[in-house]
Amino acid sequence: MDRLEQIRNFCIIAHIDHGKSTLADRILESTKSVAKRDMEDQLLDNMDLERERGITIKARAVKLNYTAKDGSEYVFNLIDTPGHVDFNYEVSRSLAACEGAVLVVDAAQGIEAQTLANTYLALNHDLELLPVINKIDLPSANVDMVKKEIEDVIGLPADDAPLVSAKLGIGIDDLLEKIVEVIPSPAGDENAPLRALIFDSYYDSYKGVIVYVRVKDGALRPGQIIRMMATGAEFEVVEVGFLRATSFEPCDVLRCGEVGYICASIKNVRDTRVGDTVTLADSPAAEPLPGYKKVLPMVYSGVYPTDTTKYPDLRDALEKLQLNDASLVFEPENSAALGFGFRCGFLGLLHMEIIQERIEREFGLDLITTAPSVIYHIVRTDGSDYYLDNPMNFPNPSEIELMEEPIVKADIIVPTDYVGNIMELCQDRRGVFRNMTYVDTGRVNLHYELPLNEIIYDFFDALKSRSRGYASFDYEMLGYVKSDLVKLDILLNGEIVDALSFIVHADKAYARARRIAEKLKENIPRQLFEIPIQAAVGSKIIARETVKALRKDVLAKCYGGDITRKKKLLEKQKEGKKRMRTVGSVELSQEAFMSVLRLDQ
Amino acid sequence: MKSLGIYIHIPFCEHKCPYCDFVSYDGKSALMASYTECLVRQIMEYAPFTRGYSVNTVYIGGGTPTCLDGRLLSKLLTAIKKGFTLADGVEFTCEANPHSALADKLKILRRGGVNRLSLGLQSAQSEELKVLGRIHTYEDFVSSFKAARQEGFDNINVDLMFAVPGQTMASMEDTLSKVISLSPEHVSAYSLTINENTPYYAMRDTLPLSDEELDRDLYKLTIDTLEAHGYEQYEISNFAKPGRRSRHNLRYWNCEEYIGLGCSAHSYFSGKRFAFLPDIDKYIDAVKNGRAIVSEVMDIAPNEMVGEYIMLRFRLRDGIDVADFDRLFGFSFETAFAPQIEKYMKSGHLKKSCGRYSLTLEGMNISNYIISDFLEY
Repeated sequence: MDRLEQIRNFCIIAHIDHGKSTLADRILESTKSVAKRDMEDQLLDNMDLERERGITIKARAVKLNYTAKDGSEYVFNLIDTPGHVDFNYEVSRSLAACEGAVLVVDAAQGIEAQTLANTYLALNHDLELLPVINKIDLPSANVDMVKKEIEDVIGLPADDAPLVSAKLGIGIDDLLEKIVEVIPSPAGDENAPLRALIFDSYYDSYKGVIVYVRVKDGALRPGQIIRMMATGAEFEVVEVGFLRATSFEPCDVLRCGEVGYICASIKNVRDTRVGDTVTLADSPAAEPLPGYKKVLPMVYSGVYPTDTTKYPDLRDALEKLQLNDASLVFEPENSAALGFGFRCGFLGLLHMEIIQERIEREFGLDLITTAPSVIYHIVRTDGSDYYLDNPMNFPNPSEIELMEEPIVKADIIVPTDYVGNIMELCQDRRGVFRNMTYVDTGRVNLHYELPLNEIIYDFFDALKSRSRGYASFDYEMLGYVKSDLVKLDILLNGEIVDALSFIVHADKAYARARRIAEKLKENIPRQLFEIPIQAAVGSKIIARETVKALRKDVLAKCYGGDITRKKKLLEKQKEGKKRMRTVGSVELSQEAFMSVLRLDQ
Repeated sequence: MKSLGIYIHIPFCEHKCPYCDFVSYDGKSALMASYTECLVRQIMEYAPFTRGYSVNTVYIGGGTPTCLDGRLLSKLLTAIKKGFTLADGVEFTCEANPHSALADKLKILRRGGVNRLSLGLQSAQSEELKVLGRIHTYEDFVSSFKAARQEGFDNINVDLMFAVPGQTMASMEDTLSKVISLSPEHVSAYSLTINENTPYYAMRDTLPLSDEELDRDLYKLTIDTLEAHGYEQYEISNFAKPGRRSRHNLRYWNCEEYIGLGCSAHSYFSGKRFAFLPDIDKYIDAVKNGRAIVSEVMDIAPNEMVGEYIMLRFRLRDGIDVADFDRLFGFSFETAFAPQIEKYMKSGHLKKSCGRYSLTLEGMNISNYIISDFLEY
């Protein structure tokens, strides 16, 4: 058999919680890629955070050997993809490294929004799709209904779809046979100039950056000089090899059709952008592989250490995270309220949360973050234009000719019972209804156009709470539309707190202002003086609340036995105050800053 | 000679009040005899360590010390006099609850050397007494008070409580005027505090508790009324006629040494704070069998002493004497706490006169908030 015919490159795509990672583990086990005793649940999700949240944040790949029932030997390259819209570009590059995709659908839940989004993405890359119905062991499993959904909604024949339970290990052998049968082997010219697609990279403190590639054409050996076609950076290859489940397996050559890694003493992941094409410096390919783009942040937020003296530690943490995450961008920012911090750009809200959580967890820093902002487009009266990602830089309204905000195309799949609730929510978020299609008799797919700034705060939570957790949601960027936006300022004790300002649609300013004022009132502790809370657009106050002055905070009795206990209480109070930030004359806790981000609760 | 205070804890009550979080039992009268025996034994054990000290205050508190029968009371008083060197003019206080049959006990106390009585009245309103779970009436109090006077007690404290559920400005005014008409030498007035692990805590959401505003208005009423009648507020919750401040309690607030005996009693002695087992059964068992009875010991580091000193001194109207402070700790109060002093002088919560810094009424109302700022320097 020809070498290429023995290879199957595929990824697994699924809606969150449909069992993608468990299925990957089971495949690893069945192909004896890991000994059962080394089996750690969800092997491909390395980070604690990934396992806890049940999501895959980074792509990962593994080479497996499979002996088919007819005795032929095959090489499987399984590429695990991130399962969230924030990482859509990474997903698209992982897909581009494959010839096929295993589409996992939960037998009880059927097709969800991400199932569809991933399917469309895979079809865009001309991948052969192999539908698999998972969780057939569940009492609520409805295989026939799910098969019908796959056929009706996606248009894939599902009669022969393997029925599996990744959890119990049922149907895995059948699935492996099907992979050989359905997914095409790779094509490519080994004698053509090298073209290898970078689909991920990560920083290892011993080896430097390890680049994950799919070789499309040509071959690559240690000692050769490679060139990154987009960045132009060149490196000498130190090592190439295959990715095994628990180790690296160096080899002499990576050839077309294969998936593997490159080590070339690369210091910075920025030189190895996902989607870039690796070629040889002395015999470069004429054209890079299609589809490369520089990923740009979608959401910006100010990130500050709660303890102002920890600014250098925060910079250190961000730099370390950036080694592994080229999509994280940051630059120093200075707030009158919060001191020194960083304006950080993220791919989306999940990405933002993950970075923040990792900083707090892995670097032990307490953070205060400002309301996330999308990127607005502003045209000045003099005709010049620019993009604005920070409310602090909002121009004088008299200088604005027009403003535009980003909008997305959203798919929301929801049981018919909740359609009313969800439409109301979308309406409330300035959504424009486009279309509604039936997924099955009990569920519909609502198509909306929504402003991105309406979904970055708490849309997902609101969606879940208004559908009792049943709605699923996915979106993609659509572009910019003209919008009437204003900057809402919050004043405490008469002073603007810059870190609390944000940009909002003029129609929503009033309601949002009132809600924020209420939230702040709940979350600002009583202090020595009465504190007026005001929300203003320009010089016009549109909402007002008052935190009354502290009147009583005293221990009535304190005798012999109370002294130690009382002192401890006061020490605790002192510690609590230390975590406060003094803004003007007002002391604010981290909770106060965070509370304004969660208005829907 | 160095001075010392002695505290004796009597953990028995006829009826335990639902707001009380002191160690006290209302169903363990069978243990009174053996508990008293333990106290006597402890007094004798600790007595040798107090050689060289002149005991100038003794305070028997509880619980309700007068729950003990006459024989046990005498035994205890005798042991105190035998074990410790009592100073001339010792202030010897015993707590008591108003009771129709208090007169006999008063005689025994008097004979045993007690010269100051602290009566737990709490309120002169029968409704409020009921809410507080008190088993005495205002009339019981008046007769107990008169009996005490008759017995020769010329130094009497009356405990009052404000922010009692259902209390009004008018009812507080009435309570105060009734108490003032009897001319006690000392009044303590405490804001009702809901402590964890009390029945009141469990009921806190259904109790008609006073809000902060009423609480502070009642407090101010108490201060104004008592001060108008010659009672000087010398501590957050304590008022006295000239020369009648509680010298024992001042020891606590002045960081002076004291030894507390009995279950749950705390001591501050030889640079250490320590406490005995709070549980009465364990305490009795340990004393009788010579086992360890100390439940906690803390060395007070010099820098922690500063915090304690400030915390306790700011409870007092006299506040902190700058010269005393600087001498005691070897650094300047005004330099070390310059930002805090500036902040609270400016806000009107702190004042300075005759070299002393003290909290104003507004400052006392939020003393925790202020003191916690002074714990760091």
